[in-house]
Amino acid sequence: MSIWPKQSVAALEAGYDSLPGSEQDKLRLKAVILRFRIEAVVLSITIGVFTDNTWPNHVRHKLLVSVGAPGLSPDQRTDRLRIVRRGASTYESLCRLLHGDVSGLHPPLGDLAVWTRAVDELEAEFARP
Amino acid sequence: MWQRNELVLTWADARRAAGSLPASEQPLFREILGDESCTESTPAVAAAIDEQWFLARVDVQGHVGIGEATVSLDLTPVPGVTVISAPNGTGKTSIVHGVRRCLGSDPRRDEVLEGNLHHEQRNIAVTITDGPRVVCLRSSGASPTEWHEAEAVGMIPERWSQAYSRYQPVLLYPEIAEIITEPGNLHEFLKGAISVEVLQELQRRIDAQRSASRKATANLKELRNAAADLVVDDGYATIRAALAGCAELPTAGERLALAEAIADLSAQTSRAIPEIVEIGDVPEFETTTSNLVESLNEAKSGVLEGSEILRDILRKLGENVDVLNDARTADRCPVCAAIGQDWHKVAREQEVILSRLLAAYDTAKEALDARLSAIVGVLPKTPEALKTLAALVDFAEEAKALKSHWDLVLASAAGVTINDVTVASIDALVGGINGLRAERDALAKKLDALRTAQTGHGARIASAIRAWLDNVDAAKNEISRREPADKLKNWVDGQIKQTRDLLFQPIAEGAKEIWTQLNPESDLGLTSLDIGGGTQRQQKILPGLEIGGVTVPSSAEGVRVLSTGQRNALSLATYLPRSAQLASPFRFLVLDDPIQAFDGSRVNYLAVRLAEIAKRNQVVVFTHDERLWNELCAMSANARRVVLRRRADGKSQVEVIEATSAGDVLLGELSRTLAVYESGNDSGATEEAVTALSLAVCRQALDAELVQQLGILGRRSGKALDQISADIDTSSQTRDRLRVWSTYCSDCGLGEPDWSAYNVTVSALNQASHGQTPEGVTQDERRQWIADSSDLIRLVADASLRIPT
Repeated sequence: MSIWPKQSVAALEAGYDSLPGSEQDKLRLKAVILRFRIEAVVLSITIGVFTDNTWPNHVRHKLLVSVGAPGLSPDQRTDRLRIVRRGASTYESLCRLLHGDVSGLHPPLGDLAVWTRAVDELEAEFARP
Repeated sequence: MWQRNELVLTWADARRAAGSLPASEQPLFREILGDESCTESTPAVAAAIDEQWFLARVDVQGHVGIGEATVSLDLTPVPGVTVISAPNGTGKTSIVHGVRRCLGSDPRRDEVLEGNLHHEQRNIAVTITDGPRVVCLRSSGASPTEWHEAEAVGMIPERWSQAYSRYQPVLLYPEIAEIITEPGNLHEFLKGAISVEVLQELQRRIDAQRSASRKATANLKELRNAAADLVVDDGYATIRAALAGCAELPTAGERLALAEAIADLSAQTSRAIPEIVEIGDVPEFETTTSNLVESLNEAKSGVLEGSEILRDILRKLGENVDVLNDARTADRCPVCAAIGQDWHKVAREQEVILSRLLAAYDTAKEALDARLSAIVGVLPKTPEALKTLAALVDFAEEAKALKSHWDLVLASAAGVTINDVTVASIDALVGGINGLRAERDALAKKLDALRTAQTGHGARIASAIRAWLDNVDAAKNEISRREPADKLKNWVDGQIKQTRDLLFQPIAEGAKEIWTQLNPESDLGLTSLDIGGGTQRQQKILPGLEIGGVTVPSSAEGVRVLSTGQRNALSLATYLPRSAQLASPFRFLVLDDPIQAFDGSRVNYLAVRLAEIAKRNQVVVFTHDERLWNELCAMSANARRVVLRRRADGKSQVEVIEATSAGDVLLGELSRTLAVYESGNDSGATEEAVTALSLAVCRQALDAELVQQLGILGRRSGKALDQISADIDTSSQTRDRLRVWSTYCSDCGLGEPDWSAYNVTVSALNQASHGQTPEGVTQDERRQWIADSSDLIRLVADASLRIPT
């Protein structure tokens, strides 16, 4: 089976917005979007260690390795470490949820808020020039 | 197991059981029973046993933690387990509390939560059915629950309430936690199950009868003694004799004797004190007695003078006979010497004088004699009068002196004769008579007072005896019931004990069995569960607990050695056998968070027990913990799952989701969302993006179903929970999980299912989960992917259904 083209986060978010229902009704879809966004960040990381970074695997490792990216000051590395660790943890939580490992059918709203902040922070970190 | 006909729970049961009573006790029993068993058209428990109620639906609005939006639970009214999962704070206990309030509330418990309403309008409706009948019990606000059946509306039938109290099919978590914390709680919790209200009512009635009998006896005794205490002197010999040896309840003969004695009482009294004779007044005379005496004395002097003249004449005549001859010759008076006619004349004159003197004497004597007679005549002198005086001595000391004085006056009167009467002697006599009369009058007054007192006392005696006898008839019936009432009390006490034992025994046995089932590895043993106390005193139910052979004291301190999980388990062990009794008309049990503080093993043991109960009953379990559901799934129990979710969008609303199959739930939600989306998409979103999101949800659904089914199959194939968890964790990819699932199916003897046809589907879902979708994908293609996902989920979910139970 061929590899399908990847949709942009913006397109996926537009798709999320186009689906009916309130935020309450779409908590699980929200979790999907968050995971898409983390994977998008990971795929944007260009580090020589990962020669083929076209598939969002080894997310935790790729995020942690990004701490060693050239051009970062010690303080920036410390900040990035904190941010990517939180991002990696959020990704694992989202995966557990979306793979049905978590009891309860819907993610708690509070968890989603925490996860959203972590993803926002992650995106901001890697959006820096 | 006890037999129905051994229990005495209804009036009809009581009438039937009383058939074994001796004939002598039957009339009183029938009287005490009254028409109870006749008016009991549908004996409470007997009728209830014939009814088999299941829960069909629950609607709760505005009750405690449930807000304005009604939470509606459609329940399948058949045996089986329904697990209602919800996180803490969703309103599980509120719903269970609402159900209980509607079905058979305990106001005391409601008070705790009454003020904690999220919505001012409270409406609770619980729909029950026994097949042909469908009844809705509705509770609005603080109003009592109404019973809606067909078009009719009424109050909850008494037999329903009685049965509810006995079997209590709804258990709240707070109760589970409280039951074992204090030794007294267990009896409070179970007392409805062992209540014998009819027998206790009979006991109350019999005790009332015994009390009435005792009171009647005491009352009669008091009346009898009061009458007897009045008979204090010898004047009531008849009454005394009638009373002697007569108990408070006299025989007919004794009553007759007493009645006659009362009738004769006044006569006895009048004879008892004789009437004293009268002493008349000494009359007032025109002529004083002294004048009469003087007249007599004067007359007597005149007579004496005439007598002396006559004596002198006679002496002269005797002394000189010659004078007589001469007188005869000379016709001269021999005494006065008068001649002839003169002498005769003188003699005549002397005779006249003498006659006059004698006449005056006679007159004076007669007058004085009459006076004496008049004076003495006021004193009665008959033998009867004297005898009466003697008899009066028995009543008054004064009578003795009176009699003595009387005799003296009589003697004095006899001594006053006309010959030697003097004024002084007559005055003395009159004085004596007047003194006697004063004495007599004083005594008469005293006797009158005594007689009056004696007559009043007699009346009181008569009245007291009548009051006693008048009460005999009324009391006789009561007193005659004493003995049979005492025997009936013993009989009812025996019935209470026997019925309580029969009711409690299966609960105690069941509790021990369930405790053992819930604690196979624990050294904490429930050796006994005994009911203590008499038939009237406060009852106690004491669990006999042992830890490693050491007895745990039956006290608050004692039960503190139990862990929270053990206490909860002990609570459930006592609750389940009570509510799941065959005799219960409630074929449903509603449990609120029964696995709090349970470890995994105990959850498994409870699931096994609930599954057993669910073969006959509808078991509805509210829990925040998925372990019970997993265990039930693992044992292929006849289970259904519903999920409650509180929507945190500013409104207090709870969403109800059918969730027996996790995959079905998510796919269902997706289908509904897409149906709305596809019916009017003008948002500008691409089909690729929507498809990616949709298939990501499909994969979530598949994974969630796989996790659920791996739990079921893993447990059924005998794998440890840790092993299953490890297998799930290490197979993080959907495809890996499908392989594990195949292996588990094989381990369960189902062979390895062929899911190769879904390889493409799995790949598609996997790519979509990472935001990758075919260019130009259409709605139809998306629908096909979703349909394929649904088929795969069904394949996964159905495998466990093929495992033999």
